[in-house]
Amino acid sequence: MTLNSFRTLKGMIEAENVIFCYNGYFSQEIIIAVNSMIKGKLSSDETKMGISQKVLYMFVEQAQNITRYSPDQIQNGDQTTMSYGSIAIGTENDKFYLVCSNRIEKANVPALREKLESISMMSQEDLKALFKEKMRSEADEGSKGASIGFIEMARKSSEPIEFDFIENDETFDCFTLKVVI
Amino acid sequence: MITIASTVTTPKITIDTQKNFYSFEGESYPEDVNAFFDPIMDPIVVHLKKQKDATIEFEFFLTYFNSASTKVFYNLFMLLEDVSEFNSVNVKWKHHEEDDTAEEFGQDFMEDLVNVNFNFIAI
Repeated sequence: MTLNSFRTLKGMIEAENVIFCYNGYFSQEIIIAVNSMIKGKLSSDETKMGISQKVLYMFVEQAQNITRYSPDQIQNGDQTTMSYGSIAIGTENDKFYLVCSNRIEKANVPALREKLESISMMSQEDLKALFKEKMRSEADEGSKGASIGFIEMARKSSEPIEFDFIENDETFDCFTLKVVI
Repeated sequence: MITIASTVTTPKITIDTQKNFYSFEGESYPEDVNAFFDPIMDPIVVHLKKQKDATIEFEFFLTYFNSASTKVFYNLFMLLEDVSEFNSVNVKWKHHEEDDTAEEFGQDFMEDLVNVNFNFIAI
């Protein structure tokens, strides 16, 4: 990377009013450190607590999705894993947005696409009903959380969640998701 | 009485089975929610199921928790609803006055409780 191309990259990030942008390996330690940075930044900006709590919530859900489901994982010396993905947090039209991205095996795309298409079209009432249903039932097969992360992100978004799956190679697609608070 | 100190990603937990007082205070987003909560919750569940005509108090002041932790607390509330048939169960749900996220989570929980006495305390 030349100094010029790095400046170009930095310029593109700043043009999107980004307060945080990371492309690399996520671990619980990284999540904790970024959480602390977001708290400090939003508090110094005097962001309303109701808003800053939602930004933190969305960040942890997106980052923990990457640590749980990104196929690009490496082992640390201490047996913990780190998972590759990307997250950007910024503002547009006076609202916070969070975009995340990680690779996903093509075989897992149809089920996730169906789940997200369904969630993105639901009303707040339907989302709440689905949240309650998931609370009462066992987690989805293959889920390492409670299967409610996407539902809760959609409930806390002021606009419908946006997502797509773009061809990466023969085995993987690139999954990208955006929420607006 | 047992007190489990908070960490950056786990709440301070107080368990007093003699007084039937339990509290959870802080943030909750451990990497593996079940590995953290199962050893704590399982003995509480066993104890609560044995109670009869007791007054059971729970206090929550959770400033942040992830979706997997939500399920742990929901399961606890469902248990409290069950044991409230034979006991008096009181829940204090504390939240910062401006923290509508924590308040809304409390409302989600409260809606599914009939016999549990659920009170919001804005701080």
